[in-house]
Amino acid sequence: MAPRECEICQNNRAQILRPKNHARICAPCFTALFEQEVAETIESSNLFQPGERVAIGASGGKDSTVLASVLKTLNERQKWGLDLVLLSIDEGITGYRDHSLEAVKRNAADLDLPLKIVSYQELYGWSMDQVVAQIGKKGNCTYCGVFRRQALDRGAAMLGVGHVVTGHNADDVAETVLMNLLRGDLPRLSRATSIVTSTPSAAKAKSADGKVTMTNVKRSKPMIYAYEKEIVMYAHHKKLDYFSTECIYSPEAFRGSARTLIKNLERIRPESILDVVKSGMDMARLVPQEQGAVPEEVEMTGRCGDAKESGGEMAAMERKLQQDEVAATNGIGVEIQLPRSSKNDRELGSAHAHSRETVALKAANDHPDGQNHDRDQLAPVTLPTRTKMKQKPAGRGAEKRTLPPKQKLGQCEKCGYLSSQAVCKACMLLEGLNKARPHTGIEVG
Amino acid sequence: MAHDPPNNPPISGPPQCARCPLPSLAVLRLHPLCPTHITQYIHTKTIKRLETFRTRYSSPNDPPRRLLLALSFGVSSTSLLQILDLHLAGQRERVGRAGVEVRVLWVRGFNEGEEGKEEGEGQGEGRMQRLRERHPAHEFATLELASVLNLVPGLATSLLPNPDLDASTPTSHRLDALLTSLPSASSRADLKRTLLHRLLLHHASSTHCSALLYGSTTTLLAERTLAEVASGKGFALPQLITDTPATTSEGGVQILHPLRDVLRKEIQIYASLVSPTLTSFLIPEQPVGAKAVVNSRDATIEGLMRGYFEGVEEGFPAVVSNVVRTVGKLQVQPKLEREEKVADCEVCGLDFVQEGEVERSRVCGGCVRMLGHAS
Ligand SMILES: [Zn+2]
Ligand SMILES: [Zn+2]
Ligand SMILES: [Zn+2]
Ligand SMILES: [Zn+2]
Repeated sequence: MAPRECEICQNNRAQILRPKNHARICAPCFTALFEQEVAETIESSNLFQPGERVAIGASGGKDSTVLASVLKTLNERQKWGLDLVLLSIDEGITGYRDHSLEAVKRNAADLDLPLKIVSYQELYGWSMDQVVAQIGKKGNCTYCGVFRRQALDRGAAMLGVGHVVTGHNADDVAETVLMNLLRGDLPRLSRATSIVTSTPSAAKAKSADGKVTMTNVKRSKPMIYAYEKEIVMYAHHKKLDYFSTECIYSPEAFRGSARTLIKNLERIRPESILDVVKSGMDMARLVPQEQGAVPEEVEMTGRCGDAKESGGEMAAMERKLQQDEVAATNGIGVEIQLPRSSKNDRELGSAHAHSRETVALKAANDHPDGQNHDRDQLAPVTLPTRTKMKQKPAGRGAEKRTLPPKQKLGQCEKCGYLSSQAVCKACMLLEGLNKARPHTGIEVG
Repeated sequence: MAHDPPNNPPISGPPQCARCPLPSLAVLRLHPLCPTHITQYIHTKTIKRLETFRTRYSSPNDPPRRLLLALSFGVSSTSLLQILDLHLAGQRERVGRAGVEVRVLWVRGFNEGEEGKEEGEGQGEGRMQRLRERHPAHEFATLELASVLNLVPGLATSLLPNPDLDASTPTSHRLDALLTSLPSASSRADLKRTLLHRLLLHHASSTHCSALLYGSTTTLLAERTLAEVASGKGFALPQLITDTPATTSEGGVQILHPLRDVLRKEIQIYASLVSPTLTSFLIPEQPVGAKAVVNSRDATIEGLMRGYFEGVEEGFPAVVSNVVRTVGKLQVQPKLEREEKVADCEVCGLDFVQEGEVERSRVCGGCVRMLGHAS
């Protein structure tokens, strides 16, 4: 193809074809435009307060490395006056974090930003390696996921920082939108498309003088409109130093499936990624109130594993849905369910599935004739025991989305983290772990 | 048959039907069923979606309500016609009258021309004629897809005015020019489907039909859900996927998908049991594998989703249903912010939220992208 000149400066040779609009531009124009677009996202949604202390969730990977570089640049250029700090979580997985933490350290030095590394060990009393040693490789992803979701907030609270920005990009968000459509999880779909997570996550922190304080931690995604491909290009042209590997533990089938779809969509029509993000934001506005709130920090932050099509999670979901269907076909399904008490809720995994199986067996001779059932009237299939929170829908127009002023959410009685249950998921998991190895609860600070 | 007592089934043979002692033919939603009970199952699932049109809700003096069935000669819509036909015949026998009257509309120029293989004129007409003979109780009509450009006001002006093609140019040429001007195979498929919908709705309303019936199965609706999301039309999912409730369509035309609780593979099994056979009416489907090739220029989002859900339906049918059920939980319209208002898109006709001073704001974001005018 004949060399073309940059559509913007009309001077340099075009090196880059932008996936989202097919513009052919040169590298300097690209990096300038990339930064400008992140700045627009930030300014149009009033993400930051002047002088605000902001922690950048830094994993050493490309997304957070680019985010840190762009924010550092913009903070100076746009005179936002932010007090930026890099915050890294050390899960304690030998051979996984070591190298990426080195990358974060080099970044901190290059960008001249302070770096705080908080370990699972410090936050939870357990490193992931220890968790794996205790429970084996199977199922440890649950731990990694639950711990990780809270780790940035807890770490921020430890630092006394009220705002954490993460490197989620358009591809991540698009993937999460499709994934949650497949899983039928509208609250998470809403949450994934919010630039600012509408539910502030609270975390209890002990300051240096031993005082315990509650910090509301706000989360935001300044790169929600940035293509993964462009992030890689930005890192390349800015010669940023990042570490590329993904968590070595188990994959999530739905995410893997959604990711494959997103990659294929991008090949057919690159604009689709932003269209999925836009669709997700619009759909968030259609989620009815009672479906709109996600009381806990349950959004998938960071991903666990480059998902292979293992199908395990999908198969489990399929079984559950089929059982629900059978239960719904028979009026009896509803009555046989276990009485709801908080004790049972905590064991919903096994107990619930068990009761459903009973139903399925009893119903095996029943004909699916659709005479007396209307599944659509029944409770949503996802996590039936989650308490519904009455509050504003998470999804409003993304640009105008700000934190609702006051919210009454439950807090974990052990650690103070926002939770719909008396004890948050992390504390529940820790309880189990600590039973086997006598240990204290979460000792924050 | 008689010397093959059902209470002594062959050990390696198919399991017994869950409803009767006959051997089962297939397993539907965990239940092995015999041909009779498969047919009954599909009929029940389908007719249940048409509850509002039951005879008991109308008085014998009312004229029967009209339903417009969109026929594509695919397995689903052809089977839907079969189901309705049998149901109404049964009703006439039992109650002496049918509460509804079915009109069948086939739109020429929609599903032909894929892969450049135009189905011969005569072939389509031939199918139509044979189907009319098979179902003499119903009225059949044929329209040209391109005619929508003249029929639906606003379309011609919002879709591209190529100065060389004025109103005197035949609509089929205008449509061809329009399709060629689009940026991708996906856009072309989207526009054709959009125009088809508008034509069907227009026809339904001008012929005083109470409802427009599509043959969309659960699987197709799930595919369309993800395809629409990928085309920026997430805002319109309830309008596109969910059945119109009877109450909100006063005077208007309800849009219904009576096969929405039936999987594609289930309707295929059903169709294979219909006698006399439906095969000679059906337009043969292209193998999905060819459609799903992602790297080809002709790859479409629709085709990608078709291939994807074929796999999901095979292993995880309940996940397919769950996608459609999830869309059913969405509200039709969002709460509006102060400066927003709802308008109907001049191209697709769907309600969308006008966001401030967008150029061409009479057209929704999804259609702007489809037409490739995004800057
Ligand atoms: Zn340039
Ligand atoms: Zn807790
Ligand atoms: Zn039977
Ligand atoms: Zn439109």
